[in-house]
Amino acid sequence: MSPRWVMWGIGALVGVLTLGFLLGEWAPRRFPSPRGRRALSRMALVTAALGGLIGLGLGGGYLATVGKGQAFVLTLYEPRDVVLPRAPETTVKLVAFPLVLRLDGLAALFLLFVGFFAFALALYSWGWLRDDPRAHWVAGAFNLFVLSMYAVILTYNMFWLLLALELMTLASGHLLLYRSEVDRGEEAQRAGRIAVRTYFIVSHVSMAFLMSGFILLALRTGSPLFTLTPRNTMQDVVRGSLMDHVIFALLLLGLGIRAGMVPFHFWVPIAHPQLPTNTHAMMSAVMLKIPVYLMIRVFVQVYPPRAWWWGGVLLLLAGGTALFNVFYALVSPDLKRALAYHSVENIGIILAGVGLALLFRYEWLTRAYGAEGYETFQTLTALALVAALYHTVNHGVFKTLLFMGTGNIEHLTGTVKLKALSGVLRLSPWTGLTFLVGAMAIVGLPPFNGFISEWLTLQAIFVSGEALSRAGHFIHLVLTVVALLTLGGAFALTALAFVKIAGETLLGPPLRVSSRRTPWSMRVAMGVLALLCVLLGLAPGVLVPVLHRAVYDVGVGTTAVQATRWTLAVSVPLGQPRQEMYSAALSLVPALALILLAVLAGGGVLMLRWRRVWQRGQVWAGGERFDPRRMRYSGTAFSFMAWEILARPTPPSEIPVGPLPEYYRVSRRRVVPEFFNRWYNRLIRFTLDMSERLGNVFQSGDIRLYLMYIFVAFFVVLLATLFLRR
Amino acid sequence: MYVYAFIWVGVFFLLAPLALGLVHTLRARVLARRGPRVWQPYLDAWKLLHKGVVIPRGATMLYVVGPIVAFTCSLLLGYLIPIPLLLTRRSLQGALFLGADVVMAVYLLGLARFIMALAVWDVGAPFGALGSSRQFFFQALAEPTFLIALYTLTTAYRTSNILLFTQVHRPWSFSVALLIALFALIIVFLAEGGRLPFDSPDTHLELTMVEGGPALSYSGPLWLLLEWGAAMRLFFFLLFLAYMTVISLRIEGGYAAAGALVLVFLLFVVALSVGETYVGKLRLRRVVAPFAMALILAIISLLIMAVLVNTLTG
Repeated sequence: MSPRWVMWGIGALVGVLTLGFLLGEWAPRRFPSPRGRRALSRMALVTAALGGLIGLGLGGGYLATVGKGQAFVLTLYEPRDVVLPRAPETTVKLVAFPLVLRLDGLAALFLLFVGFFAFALALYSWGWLRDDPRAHWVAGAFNLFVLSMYAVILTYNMFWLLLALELMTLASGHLLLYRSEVDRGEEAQRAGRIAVRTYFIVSHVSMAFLMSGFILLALRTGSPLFTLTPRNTMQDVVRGSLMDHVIFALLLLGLGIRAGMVPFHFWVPIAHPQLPTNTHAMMSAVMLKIPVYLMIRVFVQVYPPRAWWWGGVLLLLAGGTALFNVFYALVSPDLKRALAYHSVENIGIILAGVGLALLFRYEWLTRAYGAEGYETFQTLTALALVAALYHTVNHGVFKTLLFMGTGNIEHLTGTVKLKALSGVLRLSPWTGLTFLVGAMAIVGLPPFNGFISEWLTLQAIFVSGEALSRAGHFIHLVLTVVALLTLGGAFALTALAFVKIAGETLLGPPLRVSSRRTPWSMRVAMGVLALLCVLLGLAPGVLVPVLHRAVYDVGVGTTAVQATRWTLAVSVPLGQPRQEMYSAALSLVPALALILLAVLAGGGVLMLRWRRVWQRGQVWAGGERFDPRRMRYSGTAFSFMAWEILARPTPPSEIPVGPLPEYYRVSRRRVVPEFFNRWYNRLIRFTLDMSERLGNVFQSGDIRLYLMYIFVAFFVVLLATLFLRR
Repeated sequence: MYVYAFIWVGVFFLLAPLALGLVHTLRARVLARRGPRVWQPYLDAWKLLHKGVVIPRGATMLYVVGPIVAFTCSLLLGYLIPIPLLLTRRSLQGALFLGADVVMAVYLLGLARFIMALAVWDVGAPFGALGSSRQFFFQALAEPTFLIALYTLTTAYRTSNILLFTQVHRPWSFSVALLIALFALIIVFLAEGGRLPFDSPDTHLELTMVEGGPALSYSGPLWLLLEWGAAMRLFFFLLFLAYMTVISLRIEGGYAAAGALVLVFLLFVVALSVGETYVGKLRLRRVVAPFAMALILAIISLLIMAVLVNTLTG
């Protein structure tokens, strides 16, 4: 593949997706009839699917034909120097604005990622949006959303990156109005308003951090591009200055807010459930990974850690993210909110991998000049990154599958309230079974894909035991222990949460009898994703080379994971004195044996059925007559042991202090407080009060006051020019 | 080598109820009863095999799938501790790729628990779900400890593959940290295996059941699968602890190791039987204390291990 092809591909992407956006958003004004709108929405979905395919082709073609470490850099726009008319000797160089695109292994991986899900979700939406009068709008905005994510991935200039991020916010934020358009009730309107406000405020706060961070970073490295410049070489990496730490803090805050890292996770479960299902899946499964992509790009490749605690802080925050969010997922009243919390929980697992990578990256850098353990930590960095990226892909697959299932459930029953759902497995076996596959994958059970990435993450921690002990860095070791503790708790609670979710929604008698059927396109999309869950779990060799390529292209040139057809092995050299290695391997044989034996045993039991020893009988409930309405176990009761620790009696007043929900009701008398939302409500209250007070003083409406402001401003500018001249 | 491993899984499958029978008999003897014969579990199994299966009204296929998958998981636990291969003195070519990874144990136990929880939820009767919700509570407390104890083992042996554990020669001092980690693992396994003080394995009161709860809804061969699976799990735990103790004491390979393994295994069986007659079941919320102790022990063992590795190499 030559640069010319890449240019054509990118041009086609922009063209097709912009066309789709216009078809969905603008053209319906010209063709307002229902048939016209319907046709336009179909066309917009086709363009979205095409956009996805082109992205797949671009990423796949690049990976297939271009060798390691060879990136395509395309400069689309190079601003000319500006010559000031009054002073021809001064030229102003617009260094910040060249529009540079770059396609390397990591970008190609994310292109594949976005492209695949754009295609799958466009296919799903074909059925899901069939009877929706707002289909054209949803489909059009979806096109723009996909385009903006491509733009973020390909842009290699900090300034344009910020623009692309802003486009991403707008494209998705536009769709936050969807639920309040569908449901005109008071409650839905309020939720919609809060969601839009929250999302935009959060995005812009993050943008403020990112802007200041990127400006400082560009000044520090001397280039607005994500490249290693002479001022940013490895030699000065080891000792960080205060400015370095400030940049790290700003960028971590900016990216962390967008990724939903603790304590900024509150916006995800508020904003996401307001979206239509297809965009919701895209946002949770794909958009939340964009900050992860940027973190790897910035903190691993361009601006490697200057202090050991960079990775440490990220690791602790990641563990906290996983644990807190899985807990609140457990008490969420509806399916969408619970899945949104789980998305952030998985971001925690991914960020744990990235945090470990940063920790090892620093160790690796400090050992760059002759110290022992250089190779160990280089390989460990690669291992942690591969684990993080594997989980990124996995989470995309199973979370999209779960969201599609949620869309189906809503389509069939008209609700996503967990208490109102039951018996989906009977109502629609296809939806039920694929949802179950997704649930088992997200819990990380073999033989599904979640297991592989969790195993890799655990291996990254396990290897670091010996490596960090040899280096004598016990604080780092304690950090990994804390990470393991929080992650272990999060894994166990995820299992509990998904038994609860699957039990409540899928099992039992169907409460609502629906005559609606699931359209074929939704079935196909879900089937493909469920298959992918199994494929990535049984044949990690499909994905691992791509991940290695991505890791190689961000400058970590070793491989830690070997995947063959039957095995997945981790081996890390531990250095002196006798070329010792850490090695571990998973084999497909037990997994296959598991499936085979299950089939055989199942066959055996069915043989028994053949011998007519089976009979239907009453449900045994301790001698009582079983009454399913009264005696069925509820999800709240199932998770009782976990939430009861934090539960408290219902507060007397129901008047909310702020816009965010402070409690989740778990039973008639008891609630579980959401601590973070309480603090945020206080913060919002405080901000409003302060601005009111300050506003009354500074904006009193007295014209003399305003004249004085003008005078003061003039005076300040005058003084500034006087002093700055010298 | 795969052939040996699978033959061993067959042996593991056949021997598992014997361990359970031993525990039952010994416990009865400690209480001055005659108790059941050692091979009683096999007789029970034979009986159950010939019973019919009653499927509750309203249950789906998950009801049948659950015990089958859970049973298979327990069977594969045997694959994770291939004793004959572990005791050979030869260094094993390609042993790594047998994939006998100790981390798998955590996930196999998790899979069994998950699928059984769904299966009993499917039935609708509250006792099963009550029991499995308690299992998940125990798991949430036990899993961090389990992983940290494994962290100590992997740090000691530079692998999570049990076949390679004896390939690394570590000094005697490592045994201290390893034995502490094993102690933490004992507590975790008591909880995972549904033994006292976490769960009373032969209670008949439904409201106090943990492990027994899910089994309440089952009958005939399906119940047999659950019972046999529980026996295999217990056998795995005992074997794993015995093997780890033997290699922590640096008895590696050959007849000496085999003898020591049998001895330590019997020691654990006796300790379990005697211990269970002395300890009462803890109230549900009180179990946090032993788990906290196990967690602290695991962390201590890891820190000791880290210092030992550091002094050895640095």
